[in-house]
Amino acid sequence: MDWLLPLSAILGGLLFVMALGMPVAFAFLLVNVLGIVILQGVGGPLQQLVLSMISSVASFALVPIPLFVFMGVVLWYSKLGQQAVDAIDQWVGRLPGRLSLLTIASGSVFSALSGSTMANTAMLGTMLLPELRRRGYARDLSIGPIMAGGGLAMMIPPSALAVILASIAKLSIAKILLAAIIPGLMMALFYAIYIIGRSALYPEAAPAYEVKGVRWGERLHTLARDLLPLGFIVFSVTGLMVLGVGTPTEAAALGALSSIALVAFYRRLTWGLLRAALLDSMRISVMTFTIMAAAIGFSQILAYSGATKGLLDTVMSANVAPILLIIATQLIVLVLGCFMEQIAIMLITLPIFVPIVIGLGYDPIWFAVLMLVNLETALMTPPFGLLLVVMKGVTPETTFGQIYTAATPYVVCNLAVMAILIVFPQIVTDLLVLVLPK
Amino acid sequence: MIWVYNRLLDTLAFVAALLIFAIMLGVGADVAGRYIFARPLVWIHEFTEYSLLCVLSFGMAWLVRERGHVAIEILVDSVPVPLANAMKIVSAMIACAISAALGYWAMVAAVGDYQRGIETYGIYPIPRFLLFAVIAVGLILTAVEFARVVVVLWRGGDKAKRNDLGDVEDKIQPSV
Repeated sequence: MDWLLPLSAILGGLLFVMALGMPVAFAFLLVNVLGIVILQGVGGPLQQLVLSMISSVASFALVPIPLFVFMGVVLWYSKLGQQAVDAIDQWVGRLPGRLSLLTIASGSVFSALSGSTMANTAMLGTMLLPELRRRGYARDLSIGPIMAGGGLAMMIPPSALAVILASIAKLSIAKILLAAIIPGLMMALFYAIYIIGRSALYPEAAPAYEVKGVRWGERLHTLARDLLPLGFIVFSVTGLMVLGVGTPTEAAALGALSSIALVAFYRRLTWGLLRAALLDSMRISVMTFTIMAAAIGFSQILAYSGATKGLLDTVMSANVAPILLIIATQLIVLVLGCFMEQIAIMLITLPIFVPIVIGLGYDPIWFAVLMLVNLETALMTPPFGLLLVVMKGVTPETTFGQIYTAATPYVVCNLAVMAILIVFPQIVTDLLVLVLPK
Repeated sequence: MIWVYNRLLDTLAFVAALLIFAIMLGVGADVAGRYIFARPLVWIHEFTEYSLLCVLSFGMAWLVRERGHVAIEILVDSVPVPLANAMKIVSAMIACAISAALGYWAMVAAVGDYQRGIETYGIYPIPRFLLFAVIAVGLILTAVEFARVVVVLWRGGDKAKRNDLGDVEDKIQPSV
């Protein structure tokens, strides 16, 4: 157990400085510098650390991060989402809980256009929450679907977090982006099933209202005018990757350019919009890149101190069913998700978990998808899920307890999807084989 | 003087935003060049990688000033204000020291590479000291910004005292 002391010191030190409120990136930097000075000395090793930081960021594979975020904020600032919601609204029919279903459907569509969970949630909240509240929908059918639908951006490409996860875990970005589509759609389906069931059993939770009849001709016209052109963006990102025409980086560039072209097509492109979208993408990218550059030495220190190998040897020789170890990793992420931000969780856990998963013989892409579902869940788990805080800001009269309760059914849906993925990993692995270009 | 310094940070951040736009156009033009004209832009790969480094370096200090670097503030938010302030001061001082130290070593590496004439690998090699110099500037400006945070906190004022929506905006901004 020689590895236990360095592992405890590294993880304990990191968590301690993070708890002090130090920005995550600089907490990683501190631990890395201290680790290097203790293990290797000053001078050359520290210059090597700087070189590693440069290499970690100066990478063609990271281009999708700013560009996927850019797509989300362009969609948000241009208000193209509103016309998409109006078009989807005509197709929802008179199902129980139709406004909540509209929220989930819109969230799924926006997720295929935006790589930012926050932009997605903000769009849904701004456009649909007033109507949901005016119609007297219960909280779990109003703010709940907004949080759940907004979080789908993490699963359905373009997803900036999927790119970050792939980069940290050193896995194929294209494979993870494509592998997460079906689980993302499963989550949307589970949300819809819950909404329909809840609204059918408790009609007072989603009061029915008179829906204006729309003729088929008008529906098709609205669909062609307001929704189908958005498919151009989806094709530019997901379509090109599936066809093998472009790498994720190239697909991201074409997706971002398609967003600009589409906004120009609808005559909403202004210099102010472009400037605001670029500054927002820069802000989020710099935050992400700083953490990634700062954390580059973390896995190296874990390996150099013998902690990774020691832990790996212990786990591999343990007399425990491998699937229980996988479940244990997910429980750890679920607990961390209650307190920490997604990228920090990935940086702490992935350098330890990925070698274990590969050592146990599991498909790392499948594990990455499990992690994504788990991290999406973390956005809604109390006490500090980011979307819970956002919802508190949007609805200040609602207590945190009420927001937690509203999010709970959707957290359960996510856990159900995770359970299904654990039992039937072929949902991810087999479909990936079918979808990926030969 | 501070006005000039703040304008410098704003300008660097704006250049970082423009570089993202340039990357978008460049990679898009490369794909178009490859599939339509059979003439890809062979330099785009390296241009993109160096640009990403500049995006990080030019925006890092600006983001400290904008309080945009994500932090876990569970404990800080739940302790009495004087203690929270002390914790923030300590963490900002450590962050300042660590940025300054790495900025120094990046500068040392830049000088060493310059003297030895080391170049990057690639189709279009460039002097490697430029990469070290760019990150050194970013780290040193970041150290300066953290020092300013310490001073502001020491004087008892910080942006942190905001209404609920301000807090929410803070949390929305730095998230993916």
